[in-house]
Amino acid sequence: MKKKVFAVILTASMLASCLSGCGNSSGGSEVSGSVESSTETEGSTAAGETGGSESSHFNETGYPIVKEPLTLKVMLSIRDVDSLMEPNDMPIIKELEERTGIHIEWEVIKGSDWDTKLNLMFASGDYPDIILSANTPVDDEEYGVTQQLLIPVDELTQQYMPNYTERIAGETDDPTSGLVASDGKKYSVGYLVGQNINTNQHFFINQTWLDNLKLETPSTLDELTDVLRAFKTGDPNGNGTADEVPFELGLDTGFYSIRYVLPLFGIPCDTSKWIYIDDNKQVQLTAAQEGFRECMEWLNMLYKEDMLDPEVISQDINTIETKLKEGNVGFFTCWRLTAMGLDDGVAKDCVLYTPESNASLYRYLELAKNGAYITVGNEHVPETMRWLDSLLDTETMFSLYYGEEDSAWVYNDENGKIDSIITDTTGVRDCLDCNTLFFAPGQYISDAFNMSPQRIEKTQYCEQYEAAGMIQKYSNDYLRLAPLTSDQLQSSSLKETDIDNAVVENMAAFITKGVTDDSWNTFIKLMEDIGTADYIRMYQDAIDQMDLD
Amino acid sequence: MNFKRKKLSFSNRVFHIFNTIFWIVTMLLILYPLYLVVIASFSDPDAIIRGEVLWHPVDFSLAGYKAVFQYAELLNSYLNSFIYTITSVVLSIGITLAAAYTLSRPKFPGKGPLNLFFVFTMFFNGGLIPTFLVMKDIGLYNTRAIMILMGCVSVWNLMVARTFIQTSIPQELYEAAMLDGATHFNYFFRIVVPLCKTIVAVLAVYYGVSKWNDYFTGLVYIRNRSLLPLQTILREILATLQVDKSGDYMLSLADSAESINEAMRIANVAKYCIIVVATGPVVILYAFMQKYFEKGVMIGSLKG
Repeated sequence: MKKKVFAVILTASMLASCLSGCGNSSGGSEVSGSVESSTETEGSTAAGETGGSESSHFNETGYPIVKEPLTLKVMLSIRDVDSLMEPNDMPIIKELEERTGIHIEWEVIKGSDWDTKLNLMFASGDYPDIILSANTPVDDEEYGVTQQLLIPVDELTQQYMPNYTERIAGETDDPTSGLVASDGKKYSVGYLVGQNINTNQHFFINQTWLDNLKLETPSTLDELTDVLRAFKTGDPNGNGTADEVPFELGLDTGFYSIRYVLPLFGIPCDTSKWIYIDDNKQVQLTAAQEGFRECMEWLNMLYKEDMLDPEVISQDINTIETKLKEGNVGFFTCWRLTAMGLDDGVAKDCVLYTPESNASLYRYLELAKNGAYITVGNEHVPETMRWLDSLLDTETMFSLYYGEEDSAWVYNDENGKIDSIITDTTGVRDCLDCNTLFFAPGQYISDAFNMSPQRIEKTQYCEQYEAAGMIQKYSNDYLRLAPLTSDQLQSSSLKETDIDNAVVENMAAFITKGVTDDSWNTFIKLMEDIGTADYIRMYQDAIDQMDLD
Repeated sequence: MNFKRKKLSFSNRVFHIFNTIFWIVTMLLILYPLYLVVIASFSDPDAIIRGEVLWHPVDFSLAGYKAVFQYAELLNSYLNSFIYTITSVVLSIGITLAAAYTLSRPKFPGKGPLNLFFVFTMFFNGGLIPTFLVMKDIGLYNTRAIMILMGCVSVWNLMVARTFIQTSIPQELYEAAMLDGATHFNYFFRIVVPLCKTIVAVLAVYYGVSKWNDYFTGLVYIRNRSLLPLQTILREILATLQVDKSGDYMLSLADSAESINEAMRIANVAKYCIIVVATGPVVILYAFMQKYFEKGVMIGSLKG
């Protein structure tokens, strides 16, 4: 009898634990919820304290920022590829500390560990004062709006950050409009490296081969097809074998992929989603468009006639880049030619190719993304804001990004702007590199900085394409800025994975086997079955709310 | 000495030949990936991407090893891993054997509930965040101690050791020792432990390998980079391969794309070097412990 009772209790408890295992995230927020209430009381008493001590310790303007030494904790995220020395040993950081009077305890975390460490940090209740996260995401919907662990910075930036507010005022459009969360407040100080570009989708054709075969630059799609055929059959590299790759392409490999070919057919394909905004402010499904089918048919024709790299379906981005480095390519898509390691390869032969006017490229908005956050555990908010602004002082900002004056950057004698002269960025860096808080919107950066050749290259391309009228009217970036709630984002991310898998698989099939009415209809039906209609409606409602001009 | 070799019948000989060939082929198939890893680690990165490395290193280059060892923290973390593994193994074996001995005594009061208590933890776990909070409150966060103590005792191994002691050390031996005036401690240290050499070897291998491979504890609990073990550092080196090249990320490298591309290129060969560096000691250890391991691996399965 006893054994039976015991067995039943054990089974019941095992079942209960299975179910509780599913709700791991809620378990986490339960813990943080109880911690949160204790820190809230702490936070309010701390605010009272700083209110009292503020006048004696803190300088509203000028340096030093504090009259007595202050220590702040910063959680800094760096990219996986970065190799930095200990921040407090960096010359610019030491100089900054002397000037401002604020000592920083740095916790440096690599991008791949960021999510784990951030979640643990919020759950454990041991908050840093500042989170500096230029290249990694911080969910401000969850931690700012829902859990209130981050504080809104709208008024604080107005009051304490003159550098930041001046630069925003100097632009025609507010570059920080993308930082607004679903409750209308901004939780982060922005990060923006202005480039003066409006798209990243560029096409390049091998001019040397065109010259060798005495061909004109193609201006329509049909002419381009003929040129590719000529590349294959005419032996433009003159080595006697037909080993040229007329069109180098990958399936879903970033810049060298089909997403960058679809614009030729009037579809401004997004870099990560399979929806886009058309010129009538309507959200459309990329894969359901007639242009998508035409693109698949065209690529299938190229594939059959051996004008497309036969490894298009299987190769990854490294393989494509190796082939581009060797330079035996006639036509490809990319985001720029210089400073990509392609100088001995395609870069010496290729030039920008401007497609027909019915092309539609994805418009890139130069908007600030998240840079710095203040947590609710911060007891010295005004000092923190002034410290963040000091990171944005022009000379300090460029020193943090590139390195010291005279060794990494200098003032140009002719126009007084800053030139970056650093060439070797390998090895251990003595500055924070692109992980620092950098806020340089378009107008400000063109006044202060001489853009390096790779940025000027892109600006020229963008101007050419803009003049030809082939960049989409409303940027797909608005999809990322759309005011969706945390729940909506979570439920849609599963659907997005399904859509992505379905589209990529079917693209592979269409390219290798071709498109028939039957296979196309099956594909459309598949998209409907996945639930794309609801997904599109959700984004359409959000876009309508945004009231794009 | 004269051997009289028994003449095998024809069918037996045929079988013998095919059998040998079959096992040699299987062995080569299994060994080939390991061989490939070693030769790829000495090859040029571009050759690997082009898929030319098959039977021998192509364009011999130490670029991968250079990249791995240039990581300043790597040698320090190698030392850390050795310290953690050796200390942890010694501690683990000590605790496991002692607990196994106690649980194997037939007349130990509270044995039932204690067994249940241990087994319960095999099935149920608080999860990452509660464990993290407990470790923080105890004060083990960011210390060498947590690297050694985390996962120090595995209940599974404890049960294996307990079963071993119960089955291979007869009760009569204990009674004989008691008759001669031995205490539990005498019996344990002078009789049981020497007889447990096999199980000690097995435990050393199990605990050693799991501690050597552990990257997660270092990732979650250690903040001071000079305390990190080898596997956590290697994981970071490997993470450069998974760089996502979509639009947003690229723009953050507006100026330094070349060094990123170079890093990713080297990472292709560095991943093979990492495998060699990380598993080298373990493979060597296995070679020496193989004799004990063969005997010990079946121990947990036999009853009575």
